[in-house]
Amino acid sequence: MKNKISPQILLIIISLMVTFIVVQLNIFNFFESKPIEEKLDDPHYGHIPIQKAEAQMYLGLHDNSPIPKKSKTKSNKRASNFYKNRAYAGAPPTIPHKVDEVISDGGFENCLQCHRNGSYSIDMKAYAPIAPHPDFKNCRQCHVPKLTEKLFKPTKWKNKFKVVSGRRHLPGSPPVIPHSLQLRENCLSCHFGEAAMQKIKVTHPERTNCRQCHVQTKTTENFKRAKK
Amino acid sequence: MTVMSYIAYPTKLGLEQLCTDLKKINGVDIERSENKEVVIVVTTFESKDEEERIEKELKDLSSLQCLALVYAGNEEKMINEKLNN
Amino acid sequence: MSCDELKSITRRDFMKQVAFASAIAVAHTMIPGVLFANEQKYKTTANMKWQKTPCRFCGVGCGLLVAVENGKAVAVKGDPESPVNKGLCCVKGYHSIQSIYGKDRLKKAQVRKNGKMVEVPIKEALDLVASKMQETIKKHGKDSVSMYGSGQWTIPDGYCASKFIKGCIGTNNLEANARLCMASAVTGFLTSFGMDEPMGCYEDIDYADVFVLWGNNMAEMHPVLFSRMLDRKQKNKKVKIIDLTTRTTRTSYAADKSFIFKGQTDLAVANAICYEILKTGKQNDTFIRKHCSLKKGKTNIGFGLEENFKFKDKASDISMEEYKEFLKDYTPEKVEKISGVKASEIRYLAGLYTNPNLKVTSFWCMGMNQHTRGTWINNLVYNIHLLVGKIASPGNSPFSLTGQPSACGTVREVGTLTHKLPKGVVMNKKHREFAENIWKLPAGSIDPKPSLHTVEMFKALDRGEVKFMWIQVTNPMVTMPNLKRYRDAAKKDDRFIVVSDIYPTPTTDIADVILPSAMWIEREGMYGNSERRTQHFNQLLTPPEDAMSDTWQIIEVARRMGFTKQFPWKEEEHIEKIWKEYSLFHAGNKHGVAPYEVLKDNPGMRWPYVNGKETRWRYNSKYDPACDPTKEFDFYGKPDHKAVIWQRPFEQMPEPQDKDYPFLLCTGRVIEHWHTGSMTRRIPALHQAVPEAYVEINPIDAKKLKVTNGDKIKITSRRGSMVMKADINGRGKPQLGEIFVPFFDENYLINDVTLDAYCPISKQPDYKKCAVKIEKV
Repeated sequence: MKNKISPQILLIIISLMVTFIVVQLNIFNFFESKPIEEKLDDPHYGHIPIQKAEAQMYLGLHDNSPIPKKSKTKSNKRASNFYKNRAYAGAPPTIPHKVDEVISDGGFENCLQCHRNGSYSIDMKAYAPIAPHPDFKNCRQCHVPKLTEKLFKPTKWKNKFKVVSGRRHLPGSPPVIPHSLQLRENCLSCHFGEAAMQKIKVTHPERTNCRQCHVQTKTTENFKRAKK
Repeated sequence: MTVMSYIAYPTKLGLEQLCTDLKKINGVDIERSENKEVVIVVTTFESKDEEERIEKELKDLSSLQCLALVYAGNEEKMINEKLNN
Repeated sequence: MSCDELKSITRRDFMKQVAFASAIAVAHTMIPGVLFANEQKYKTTANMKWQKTPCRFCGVGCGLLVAVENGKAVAVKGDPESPVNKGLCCVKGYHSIQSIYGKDRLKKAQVRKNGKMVEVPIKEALDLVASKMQETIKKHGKDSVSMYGSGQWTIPDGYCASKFIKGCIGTNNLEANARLCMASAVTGFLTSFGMDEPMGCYEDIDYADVFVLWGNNMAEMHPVLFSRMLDRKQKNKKVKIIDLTTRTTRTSYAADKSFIFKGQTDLAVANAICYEILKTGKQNDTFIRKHCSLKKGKTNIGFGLEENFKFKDKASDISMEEYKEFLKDYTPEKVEKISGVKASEIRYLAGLYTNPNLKVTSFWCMGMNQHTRGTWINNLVYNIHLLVGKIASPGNSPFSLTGQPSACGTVREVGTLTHKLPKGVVMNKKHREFAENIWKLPAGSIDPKPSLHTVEMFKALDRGEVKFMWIQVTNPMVTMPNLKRYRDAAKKDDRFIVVSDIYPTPTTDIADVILPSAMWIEREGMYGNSERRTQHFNQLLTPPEDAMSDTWQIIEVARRMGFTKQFPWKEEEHIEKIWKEYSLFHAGNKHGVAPYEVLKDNPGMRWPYVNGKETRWRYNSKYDPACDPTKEFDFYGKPDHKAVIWQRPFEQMPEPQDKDYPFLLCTGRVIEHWHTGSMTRRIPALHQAVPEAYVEINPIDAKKLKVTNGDKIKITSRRGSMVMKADINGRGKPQLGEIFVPFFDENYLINDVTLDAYCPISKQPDYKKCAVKIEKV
């Protein structure tokens, strides 16, 4: 009968199906013992450093995605960008890319689409820095783009500051926080991740209670008992 | 990566000149003494080429009288030692 | 960038440091007198000798390694061998050694002559202390002298104090500041279980699925344990942290849920959870039948405010039916009205406790202990765990956290409280004879009647019944509630106050004799932390000039008063000998302590230490050799081997808000500062992080008062007032109508404002609630 499929075609169909299944199983790691998320929770799982693990989770398992595991902007370029975008230490950085005028469009928060979690931008070839204060929604109130390098009139002002490590009071002790925490309370937003400046990347991002060991410096004076 | 430190003495040209010259060399950090004519030199290099370059630049300095080697540390060696201890 | 690259950058910096340091060192030998400007910068930790010690500060009891170089402590790192903190510390621990080097360190003894403090040789000061003590006893009787010690006393300090005051002098006027921090926890344990201290250990953190924090800010107060909890949460996404609190703190931000309740209503909330457990029938009937008895005590028990207030509880048995009837007043809906915690939230909490698949650990500290019904609320949280049988097993743990580094080790285990002995109580003849025997004292030396608890002792100082007080390692002129009365009392004529301390404080300011003390690693000793771990530390440094360990000060005075037989030891071996003698008190598998050699070689050992092994979970026959092996659980602290489920009601605080004083004042700490700041304020990193105390106020209240950050506010209670700067939206956010003040700053003696009401059972004052009014200044 015509409905019967010839053995050769059946063989091809079966082998295609098998190949398809094998490919799918490989992609979804069925041959491995646990799904990747569980493995990462397992304290004994490999020695994959946190960033790599995060990137893997982010990438899914497709290695031909255009999103690189490491930022394509070299670390010294990231550092020079850092300084270039800020007038002084703690200044709100200028926006180094083209922006829409509309901040929020029916609840859709444009800036935070990339800056909430530090997504990768293909045209910037960089990971977006994570906003340490995403609860402030009126971004363009403080962050403005740089539309020209030209000045109106010359100025004496120089963007001259250096990021320095907080002082270590004893050899090996945890450095103090050398900057104000106003609008910068989320440590990991700047001290960890692919957009972070190399110099300040932290060696132990998994310890989330940062202020247990690192404290601010509200004064440089020492304690003196009050005179009676 | 290898790190080496020396105590360096200047020629008649003086400590000031020596420090200025040393600061120009890539891979060299210095710490000058406050009260004596002597300066500590620390060199950092990754490869043999870099090591040779630094050596040549130091040799060419007319302000450098001599270098006394104090310390040499190799990163791989350090790691191996720590692992074996 | 990968971790490896990052590590090699810091390795490069480190290696450069080592290179510079070596060259500088060689230059020093080759060129005498050579100086380099940035020498300090290049000091590395590569060649220092590291020795172990427990941390000087909180009750977590982290293991530290201190580097000593040329007789100075120069660096600290966490001891990776310590199972407590596994190599991590907090900011106080990391900088603790700087507390040794403050410029105004007390190095010489001082005596008040003609109103002024004059430096004297320490022998003269000790002579004076002994002679004054003898004179006072002769004139006014043995109960006119007293000693007030501390949960920061090392174990040998407390042991010698107990032997000296209770044994040799024969008065029970021996108290410690742990009365102000842990007494309710102790009476909670004793009434519920018959024996003190937690049945679990810190390993519970590694097994629990749910952490319920009852009114304590663990992120700042037990930071390393908090980090262990966060770590557990990171590795197990289903782990939950529930923050039950009166004010939003750093802990709240890290918790999964934060439920705000009105102060004092924790009693109602706990009862509501018990109601819900029994209503849904999810209690563990077998466990209750086999291992629990039900009792009730007196109600309307007062607050200790009257002069010569006395209270003795009376227990009577009740049935489960009576208990269920009692709990009908605590339905979640009724409790929602008084506490502010929604009924659904209460049910949620009850659900966590009853869920058979979840292991629950409850943590608490000062919120529950510094409470006018502190004993009751401790009982109630034990009730919850007992009703569902989630106790004394890994992860199922009602864990009472201790505040001070050795409140457990010294005050509770040695028993430096008016009614206690190292084993047992003064009221018990057998216990007295046991102590008199070990102490080689004639029978009848120990007084069988407990005398004065802390608040009462200071009241007696005021009234004149106590004329001599020796204060060691604590700062009551900052920490006594209703402070003005007790400060005036100490300043009265015919009161002789001896203070042993390391820095000038408001307490040394009113002293008649100041004895300079050695800091913890300037002498050998032991501390005991919250999880029953005793930790030994060697003497790592020499104390400056005449400074002398508190232990040796007591021994010197005791010898001068003729008690050479009780204090015969040579200085080189006295700590070892004291430990051996003290161990005799606790021998046995219910409380045995580890031998001296074992403590020296290890990062501490938990008691009971039986046949070379620590008991990690007590009362559980799988882990505790003192249990009856035929039973699964054996609460051997009680004569019937059963834990007690206590019927305790909600009773309102003695001074609630009213129309004249519409605000509630709460006091507490911040992570950077320890207690009254006498040590931490002299640590530059800590002082510079929090240089001044402040008052936290809710932003809406601040707006009403027209006050912004830094503006001055006057806080007034019926007892006193204080002007402080406002802190709005800082690390802690109080509720409407409530304020919070940290007590570390001697320039803002907030205890002039607080109330000395206490739990009548434990006698521990309530620093968390009193009525105040505030106004802009």
